[in-house]
Amino acid sequence: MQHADVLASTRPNRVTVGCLGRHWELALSTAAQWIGAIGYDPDRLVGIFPGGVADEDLEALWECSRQLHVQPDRTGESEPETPGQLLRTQRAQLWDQNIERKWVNSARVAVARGSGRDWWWTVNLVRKVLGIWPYINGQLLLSGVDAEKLSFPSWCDAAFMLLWTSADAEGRTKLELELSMPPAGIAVAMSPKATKKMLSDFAAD
Amino acid sequence: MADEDNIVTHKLLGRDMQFRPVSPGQLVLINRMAQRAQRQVDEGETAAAFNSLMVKMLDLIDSLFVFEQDRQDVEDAMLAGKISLEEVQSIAFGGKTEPAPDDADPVVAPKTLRSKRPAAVAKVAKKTANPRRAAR
Repeated sequence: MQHADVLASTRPNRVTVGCLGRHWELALSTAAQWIGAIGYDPDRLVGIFPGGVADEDLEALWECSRQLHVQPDRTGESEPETPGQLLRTQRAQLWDQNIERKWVNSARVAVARGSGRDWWWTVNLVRKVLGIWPYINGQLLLSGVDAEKLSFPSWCDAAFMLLWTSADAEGRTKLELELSMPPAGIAVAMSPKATKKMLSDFAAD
Repeated sequence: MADEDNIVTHKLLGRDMQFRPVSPGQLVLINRMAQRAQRQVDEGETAAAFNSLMVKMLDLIDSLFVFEQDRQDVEDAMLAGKISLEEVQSIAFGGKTEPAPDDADPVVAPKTLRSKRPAAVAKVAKKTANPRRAAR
C-alpha cells in the first residue's frame, strides 16, 4: 500500500484518471482551479477532462483520441463510390461520438477523486456556490478560507459547512437532498450491499 | 462525431455546406494546444509548434465536413488564397464570424427596443400638465 493514510488515499494531492488505454495526471491543484474547471461546463465537465490535462500530455491525448477503432458502416447504405468518399467516412469516424462519452466518464471519476466525494454531489455543490459566489467566497475569505490556496476537498468541506450552518433544519434537509441528487438520466452504480439496504429500507416503509 | 440529427448548415464559398458540430471537448482541447503553442513561441521556440497546431486544426475541421466535395472545394479555395483558415475555422466551429467587441464604443440599444409609456402613466401625465383638467 503506497499510503497507509485514509485521507491521502481518498484525497490525493494530484489526480490521475485512466482513459484511452493510459493514465493522465490533471494539472489542477487549488480549489479555485477545480471550481473554475467544473463551472466551465458542469454538464459535460470538459474543463476537467480534457481541459485539465497537463500541457505536456495534450499532444498525446489528441493522438489517442483520434486512434479509435473504425466502425464498419452499419446503416446498410451502399458502398461508397469513390476512394475519396471512403476516406471521408473513415476520417469522420476517427472522431467517434464515443470519445465524448469516454471523456465525460473520465471527468466524473476525476471529480470524485479530486473532491473525495461522489462526483454529482461535488458538481451540485459547485453549481450552487457559483450561483452565489460573491456571498460564499466572501464569507469564506473572512474566515480565512481562500479557494486560491486551499485544496479542493478542504474547500468543499468549508463551503458545505457554511451552507449547512446558515440553514435551519428544513434548509439542511433541502440542502442534503439537492446535493445528493444525481443529474437526470444518470444511472448510479450501487454495490450489492447498498442495493440490499435500499430494498430493505423501501420494504420497511 | 454527432449523429445525423445534429448536422448544421453554414454558408461558405457562397453556398450552404453541412457540418457535424464540433464538440465542446474538442474545442477545449484545440484551444489548450493553441495556448500552449503561443507560449512556446513567446518563449523563443521555433514555429514548429504552430505548424503542428495548424495540422491538427485542419484535421479537426476536415472531420467536420459531411460531404467530401465541400471539403475538397474549401481546401482548394484555401490553397488558392480565396479563403483563410481563420474564416473556415470560425465557420466550422462557431457558424459565424463576429467582430471583437469594442470596449470604447459599446453597443447602444436600438430605438425599437424602447418600451412605450404605459397608458395609465400617460393619462396621469396629461391631466397633471393641464391644471384645469386636473381640477375636474
